[in-house]
Amino acid sequence: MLDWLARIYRTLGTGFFFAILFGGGAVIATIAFPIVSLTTRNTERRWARKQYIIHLLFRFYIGLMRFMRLAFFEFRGLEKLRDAPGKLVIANHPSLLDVVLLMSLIPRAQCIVKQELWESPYLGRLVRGAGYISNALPSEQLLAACRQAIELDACLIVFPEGTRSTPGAPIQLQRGFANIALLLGLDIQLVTITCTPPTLLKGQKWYEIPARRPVFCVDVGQVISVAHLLNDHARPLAARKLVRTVAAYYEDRLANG
Amino acid sequence: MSRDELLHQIKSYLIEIFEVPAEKVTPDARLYEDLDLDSIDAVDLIVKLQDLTSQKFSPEDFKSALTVTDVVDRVDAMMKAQA
Repeated sequence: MLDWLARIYRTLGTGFFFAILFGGGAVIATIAFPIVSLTTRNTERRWARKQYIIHLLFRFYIGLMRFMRLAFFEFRGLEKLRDAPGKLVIANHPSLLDVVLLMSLIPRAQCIVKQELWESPYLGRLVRGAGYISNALPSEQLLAACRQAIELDACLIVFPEGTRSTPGAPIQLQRGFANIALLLGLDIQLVTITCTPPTLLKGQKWYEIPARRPVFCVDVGQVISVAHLLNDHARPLAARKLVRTVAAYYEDRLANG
Repeated sequence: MSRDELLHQIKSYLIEIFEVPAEKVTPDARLYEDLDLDSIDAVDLIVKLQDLTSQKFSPEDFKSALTVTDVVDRVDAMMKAQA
Protein backbone atom coordinates (compact mmCIF):
# COMPACT_ATOMS: atom_id res chain seq x y z
CA MET A 1 0.00 0.00 0.00
CA LEU A 2 2.75 2.40 0.99
CA ASP A 3 4.76 1.41 -2.07
CA TRP A 4 1.78 2.05 -4.21
CA LEU A 5 1.23 5.48 -2.69
CA ALA A 6 4.90 6.32 -3.06
CA ARG A 7 4.73 5.40 -6.70
CA ILE A 8 1.69 7.57 -7.30
CA TYR A 9 3.44 10.43 -5.53
CA ARG A 10 6.50 10.02 -7.72
CA THR A 11 4.46 9.77 -10.91
CA LEU A 12 2.52 12.92 -10.11
CA GLY A 13 5.66 14.67 -8.95
CA THR A 14 7.54 13.72 -12.11
CA GLY A 15 4.63 14.96 -14.19
CA PHE A 16 4.61 18.22 -12.29
CA PHE A 17 8.32 18.77 -12.84
CA PHE A 18 8.02 17.82 -16.48
CA ALA A 19 5.22 20.35 -16.89
CA ILE A 20 7.01 23.20 -15.11
CA LEU A 21 10.15 22.65 -17.16
CA PHE A 22 8.32 23.18 -20.43
CA GLY A 23 5.47 25.40 -19.24
CA GLY A 24 7.63 27.37 -16.84
CA GLY A 25 10.26 27.83 -19.53
CA ALA A 26 7.67 29.32 -21.84
CA VAL A 27 6.26 31.55 -19.08
CA ILE A 28 9.70 32.89 -18.09
CA ALA A 29 10.52 33.57 -21.70
CA THR A 30 7.27 35.48 -22.16
CA ILE A 31 7.27 37.41 -18.90
CA ALA A 32 10.77 37.77 -17.42
CA PHE A 33 12.75 38.01 -20.65
CA PRO A 34 10.93 41.02 -22.07
CA ILE A 35 11.52 42.84 -18.78
CA VAL A 36 15.23 42.12 -19.03
CA SER A 37 15.23 43.16 -22.67
CA LEU A 38 13.49 46.43 -21.85
CA THR A 39 15.86 47.28 -19.02
CA THR A 40 19.10 46.14 -20.63
CA ARG A 41 20.19 47.80 -23.83
CA ASN A 42 23.40 45.99 -24.53
CA THR A 43 22.73 42.65 -26.24
CA GLU A 44 25.56 40.78 -24.56
CA ARG A 45 24.57 41.96 -21.09
CA ARG A 46 21.02 41.06 -21.90
CA TRP A 47 22.07 37.50 -22.68
CA ALA A 48 24.24 37.34 -19.58
CA ARG A 49 21.33 38.41 -17.39
CA LYS A 50 18.95 35.96 -19.01
CA GLN A 51 21.49 33.20 -18.65
CA TYR A 52 21.86 34.06 -15.00
CA ILE A 53 18.07 33.93 -14.54
CA ILE A 54 18.04 30.49 -16.13
CA HIS A 55 20.87 29.42 -13.81
CA LEU A 56 18.93 30.54 -10.71
CA LEU A 57 15.71 28.92 -11.88
CA PHE A 58 17.43 25.64 -12.65
CA ARG A 59 19.12 25.70 -9.24
CA PHE A 60 15.76 26.19 -7.66
CA TYR A 61 14.30 23.45 -9.85
CA ILE A 62 16.90 20.88 -8.85
CA GLY A 63 16.66 22.01 -5.22
CA LEU A 64 12.91 21.52 -5.24
CA MET A 65 13.20 18.07 -6.84
CA ARG A 66 15.62 17.14 -4.12
CA PHE A 67 13.41 18.60 -1.39
CA MET A 68 10.40 16.69 -2.70
CA ARG A 69 12.55 13.56 -2.75
CA LEU A 70 11.76 12.72 -6.34
CA ALA A 71 15.39 12.04 -7.12
CA PHE A 72 18.79 12.01 -5.45
CA PHE A 73 21.66 14.11 -6.69
CA GLU A 74 25.34 13.50 -6.29
CA PHE A 75 28.00 15.95 -7.36
CA ARG A 76 31.73 15.32 -7.65
CA GLY A 77 34.55 17.71 -8.43
CA LEU A 78 32.31 20.78 -8.51
CA GLU A 79 35.16 23.07 -7.47
CA LYS A 80 36.64 22.56 -10.96
CA LEU A 81 33.66 24.36 -12.44
CA ARG A 82 34.92 27.60 -10.90
CA ASP A 83 37.52 27.58 -13.65
CA ALA A 84 34.98 26.74 -16.32
CA PRO A 85 34.61 30.26 -17.79
CA GLY A 86 36.49 30.34 -21.06
CA LYS A 87 36.44 26.58 -21.38
CA LEU A 88 34.45 24.17 -23.44
CA VAL A 89 32.36 22.00 -21.13
CA ILE A 90 31.54 18.63 -22.67
CA ALA A 91 29.08 16.19 -21.18
CA ASN A 92 27.45 12.94 -22.14
CA HIS A 93 23.72 13.11 -22.45
CA PRO A 94 21.76 10.31 -20.77
CA SER A 95 18.72 12.24 -19.53
CA LEU A 96 16.42 15.18 -20.01
CA LEU A 97 17.80 16.85 -16.90
CA ASP A 98 21.42 17.03 -18.07
CA VAL A 99 21.33 20.57 -19.30
CA VAL A 100 19.26 21.66 -16.29
CA LEU A 101 21.87 20.13 -13.99
CA LEU A 102 24.84 21.70 -15.75
CA MET A 103 23.27 25.12 -15.97
CA SER A 104 22.22 24.96 -12.33
CA LEU A 105 25.91 24.56 -11.51
CA ILE A 106 27.33 27.20 -13.86
CA PRO A 107 26.19 30.82 -13.46
CA ARG A 108 27.26 31.96 -16.89
CA ALA A 109 26.81 29.25 -19.46
CA GLN A 110 26.43 29.40 -23.17
CA CYS A 111 25.17 26.30 -24.86
CA ILE A 112 24.99 24.93 -28.37
CA VAL A 113 21.45 23.64 -28.85
CA LYS A 114 20.01 21.40 -31.49
CA GLN A 115 17.63 22.80 -34.05
CA GLU A 116 14.60 20.94 -32.66
CA LEU A 117 14.97 22.73 -29.35
CA TRP A 118 15.69 26.05 -31.02
CA GLU A 119 12.32 25.77 -32.78
CA SER A 120 10.41 24.13 -29.92
CA PRO A 121 7.06 25.80 -29.19
CA TYR A 122 7.70 25.52 -25.43
CA LEU A 123 11.39 26.12 -24.95
CA GLY A 124 12.32 27.73 -28.25
CA ARG A 125 11.62 31.24 -27.01
CA LEU A 126 13.71 30.58 -23.91
CA VAL A 127 16.78 29.29 -25.75
CA ARG A 128 16.60 31.95 -28.45
CA GLY A 129 16.05 34.71 -25.91
CA ALA A 130 19.01 33.64 -23.80
CA GLY A 131 21.22 33.91 -26.86
CA TYR A 132 22.18 30.25 -26.99
CA ILE A 133 23.76 29.05 -30.19
CA SER A 134 21.89 26.97 -32.74
CA ASN A 135 23.81 24.02 -34.15
CA ALA A 136 22.19 24.66 -37.53
CA LEU A 137 24.27 27.80 -38.09
CA PRO A 138 26.78 27.64 -40.94
CA SER A 139 30.17 26.66 -39.50
CA GLU A 140 31.73 30.11 -39.75
CA GLN A 141 28.87 31.80 -37.92
CA LEU A 142 28.78 29.02 -35.35
CA LEU A 143 32.47 29.49 -34.65
CA ALA A 144 32.08 33.24 -34.43
CA ALA A 145 29.25 32.85 -31.92
CA CYS A 146 31.35 30.45 -29.84
CA ARG A 147 34.32 32.81 -29.93
CA GLN A 148 32.11 35.65 -28.76
CA ALA A 149 30.77 33.56 -25.87
CA ILE A 150 34.29 32.75 -24.73
CA GLU A 151 35.40 36.37 -25.04
CA LEU A 152 32.49 37.33 -22.80
CA ASP A 153 33.86 34.87 -20.27
CA ALA A 154 31.00 32.41 -20.47
CA CYS A 155 31.71 28.73 -20.67
CA LEU A 156 30.43 26.85 -23.63
CA ILE A 157 28.39 23.72 -22.98
CA VAL A 158 28.23 21.13 -25.74
CA PHE A 159 26.69 17.68 -25.70
CA PRO A 160 28.70 15.99 -28.43
CA GLU A 161 26.30 13.06 -28.64
CA GLY A 162 23.94 15.57 -30.22
CA THR A 163 20.86 14.19 -28.58
CA ARG A 164 19.98 12.04 -25.59
CA SER A 165 21.78 8.73 -25.80
CA THR A 166 20.71 5.23 -24.88
CA PRO A 167 22.50 3.97 -21.76
CA GLY A 168 24.75 1.03 -22.54
CA ALA A 169 24.94 1.75 -26.26
CA PRO A 170 28.42 2.58 -27.60
CA ILE A 171 29.31 6.28 -27.35
CA GLN A 172 28.84 8.11 -30.67
CA LEU A 173 30.30 11.60 -30.67
CA GLN A 174 29.90 14.21 -33.34
CA ARG A 175 33.09 15.98 -34.28
CA GLY A 176 31.90 19.57 -33.99
CA PHE A 177 33.10 20.04 -30.41
CA ALA A 178 36.62 18.98 -31.38
CA ASN A 179 36.68 21.44 -34.26
CA ILE A 180 35.51 24.23 -31.97
CA ALA A 181 38.08 23.42 -29.30
CA LEU A 182 40.93 23.22 -31.81
CA LEU A 183 40.01 26.25 -33.88
CA LEU A 184 39.42 28.45 -30.85
CA GLY A 185 42.17 26.88 -28.74
CA LEU A 186 39.88 26.00 -25.83
CA ASP A 187 40.62 23.62 -23.01
CA ILE A 188 37.96 20.99 -22.54
CA GLN A 189 36.37 20.27 -19.17
CA LEU A 190 34.88 16.77 -19.27
CA VAL A 191 31.75 16.06 -17.27
CA THR A 192 30.18 12.64 -16.87
CA ILE A 193 26.50 12.42 -16.04
CA THR A 194 24.82 9.22 -14.98
CA CYS A 195 21.32 8.42 -13.94
CA THR A 196 20.54 5.13 -12.20
CA PRO A 197 18.10 3.64 -12.86
CA PRO A 198 17.74 5.37 -16.21
CA THR A 199 14.80 7.73 -16.50
CA LEU A 200 13.48 10.42 -18.86
CA LEU A 201 15.15 8.65 -21.76
CA LYS A 202 14.61 9.58 -25.32
CA GLY A 203 11.26 8.25 -26.48
CA GLN A 204 10.09 7.51 -22.96
CA LYS A 205 6.85 9.04 -21.64
CA TRP A 206 7.14 11.16 -18.52
CA TYR A 207 4.92 8.81 -16.51
CA GLU A 208 7.01 5.73 -17.24
CA ILE A 209 8.94 6.23 -14.03
CA PRO A 210 11.60 3.80 -12.81
CA ALA A 211 10.90 1.32 -10.01
CA ARG A 212 12.99 3.29 -7.54
CA ARG A 213 13.98 6.89 -7.20
CA PRO A 214 16.72 7.78 -9.68
CA VAL A 215 20.14 8.95 -8.58
CA PHE A 216 21.64 11.59 -10.83
CA CYS A 217 25.39 11.90 -10.59
CA VAL A 218 27.37 14.77 -12.10
CA ASP A 219 31.07 14.06 -12.09
CA VAL A 220 33.29 16.97 -13.12
CA GLY A 221 36.39 15.18 -14.33
CA GLN A 222 39.50 15.66 -16.37
CA VAL A 223 40.49 18.79 -18.29
CA ILE A 224 41.94 18.13 -21.72
CA SER A 225 44.30 20.69 -23.15
CA VAL A 226 44.23 20.78 -26.93
CA ALA A 227 47.25 22.97 -27.68
CA HIS A 228 49.73 20.10 -27.97
CA LEU A 229 47.47 18.20 -30.38
CA LEU A 230 47.89 20.92 -32.95
CA ASN A 231 51.67 20.80 -32.64
CA ASP A 232 51.71 17.18 -33.65
CA HIS A 233 48.95 17.03 -36.23
CA ALA A 234 47.10 19.06 -38.81
CA ARG A 235 43.64 20.13 -37.65
CA PRO A 236 41.60 17.36 -39.36
CA LEU A 237 43.69 14.59 -37.80
CA ALA A 238 43.89 16.34 -34.45
CA ALA A 239 40.08 16.64 -34.38
CA ARG A 240 39.63 12.95 -35.07
CA LYS A 241 42.15 12.05 -32.44
CA LEU A 242 40.45 14.30 -29.90
CA VAL A 243 37.08 12.69 -30.60
CA ARG A 244 38.61 9.25 -30.00
CA THR A 245 40.25 10.39 -26.77
CA VAL A 246 37.01 11.82 -25.42
CA ALA A 247 34.95 8.80 -26.51
CA ALA A 248 37.45 6.50 -24.76
CA TYR A 249 37.21 8.64 -21.62
CA TYR A 250 33.43 8.32 -21.52
CA GLU A 251 33.48 4.63 -22.29
CA ASP A 252 35.85 4.12 -19.41
CA ARG A 253 33.93 6.35 -17.00
CA LEU A 254 30.59 4.82 -17.85
CA ALA A 255 31.91 1.27 -17.62
CA ASN A 256 33.90 1.75 -14.42
CA GLY A 257 32.05 4.56 -12.67
CA MET B 1 47.64 18.16 -64.37
CA SER B 2 45.44 15.44 -65.81
CA ARG B 3 42.15 14.34 -64.31
CA ASP B 4 43.69 11.05 -63.24
CA GLU B 5 46.49 12.79 -61.43
CA LEU B 6 43.99 15.05 -59.74
CA LEU B 7 41.86 12.14 -58.63
CA HIS B 8 44.93 10.36 -57.33
CA GLN B 9 46.08 13.43 -55.40
CA ILE B 10 42.65 14.07 -53.86
CA LYS B 11 42.44 10.42 -52.85
CA SER B 12 45.75 10.61 -51.07
CA TYR B 13 44.67 13.78 -49.21
CA LEU B 14 41.52 12.07 -48.06
CA ILE B 15 43.48 9.08 -46.82
CA GLU B 16 46.34 10.96 -45.19
CA ILE B 17 44.76 14.06 -43.77
CA PHE B 18 41.25 12.90 -43.05
CA GLU B 19 41.96 9.31 -42.03
CA VAL B 20 39.51 7.92 -44.55
CA PRO B 21 40.16 4.19 -45.09
CA ALA B 22 41.65 3.78 -48.56
CA GLU B 23 39.05 1.28 -49.72
CA LYS B 24 36.27 3.77 -49.04
CA VAL B 25 37.64 6.42 -51.36
CA THR B 26 35.90 5.56 -54.61
CA PRO B 27 35.02 8.15 -57.27
CA ASP B 28 31.34 7.92 -56.31
CA ALA B 29 31.89 8.13 -52.55
CA ARG B 30 29.93 10.99 -51.01
CA LEU B 31 32.16 13.32 -49.00
CA TYR B 32 29.88 13.93 -46.05
CA GLU B 33 27.90 10.72 -45.78
CA ASP B 34 30.39 8.06 -46.89
CA LEU B 35 33.72 9.63 -46.02
CA ASP B 36 32.68 11.34 -42.79
CA LEU B 37 33.95 14.79 -43.71
CA ASP B 38 32.40 17.83 -42.06
CA SER B 39 32.07 21.41 -43.23
CA ILE B 40 35.30 22.45 -41.51
CA ASP B 41 37.10 19.57 -43.22
CA ALA B 42 35.79 20.81 -46.55
CA VAL B 43 37.51 24.14 -45.95
CA ASP B 44 40.78 22.35 -45.18
CA LEU B 45 40.45 20.27 -48.31
CA ILE B 46 39.90 23.38 -50.42
CA VAL B 47 43.02 24.97 -48.95
CA LYS B 48 44.97 21.83 -49.88
CA LEU B 49 43.61 21.97 -53.41
CA GLN B 50 44.63 25.61 -53.67
CA ASP B 51 48.16 24.72 -52.67
CA LEU B 52 48.17 21.91 -55.19
CA THR B 53 46.94 23.90 -58.16
CA SER B 54 48.17 27.36 -57.09
CA GLN B 55 44.71 28.70 -57.79
CA LYS B 56 42.26 30.52 -55.61
CA PHE B 57 39.02 28.68 -54.84
CA SER B 58 36.13 29.78 -52.73
CA PRO B 59 33.97 27.42 -50.66
CA GLU B 60 31.11 28.56 -52.89
CA ASP B 61 32.75 26.82 -55.85
CA PHE B 62 32.36 23.51 -54.08
CA LYS B 63 28.97 24.01 -52.54
CA SER B 64 27.26 21.56 -54.86
CA ALA B 65 30.13 19.07 -54.88
CA LEU B 66 28.86 15.94 -53.16
CA THR B 67 31.18 13.19 -54.33
CA VAL B 68 34.89 12.73 -54.96
CA THR B 69 34.23 12.92 -58.71
CA ASP B 70 32.37 16.21 -58.26
CA VAL B 71 35.44 17.71 -56.60
CA VAL B 72 37.74 16.46 -59.36
CA ASP B 73 35.36 17.89 -61.97
CA ARG B 74 35.23 21.31 -60.31
CA VAL B 75 38.98 21.59 -59.92
CA ASP B 76 39.56 20.32 -63.44
CA ALA B 77 37.08 22.77 -64.91
CA MET B 78 38.56 25.71 -63.02
CA MET B 79 42.10 24.82 -64.05
CA LYS B 80 41.02 24.61 -67.67
CA ALA B 81 39.26 27.93 -67.41
CA GLN B 82 42.50 29.49 -66.14
CA ALA B 83 44.73 27.87 -68.76
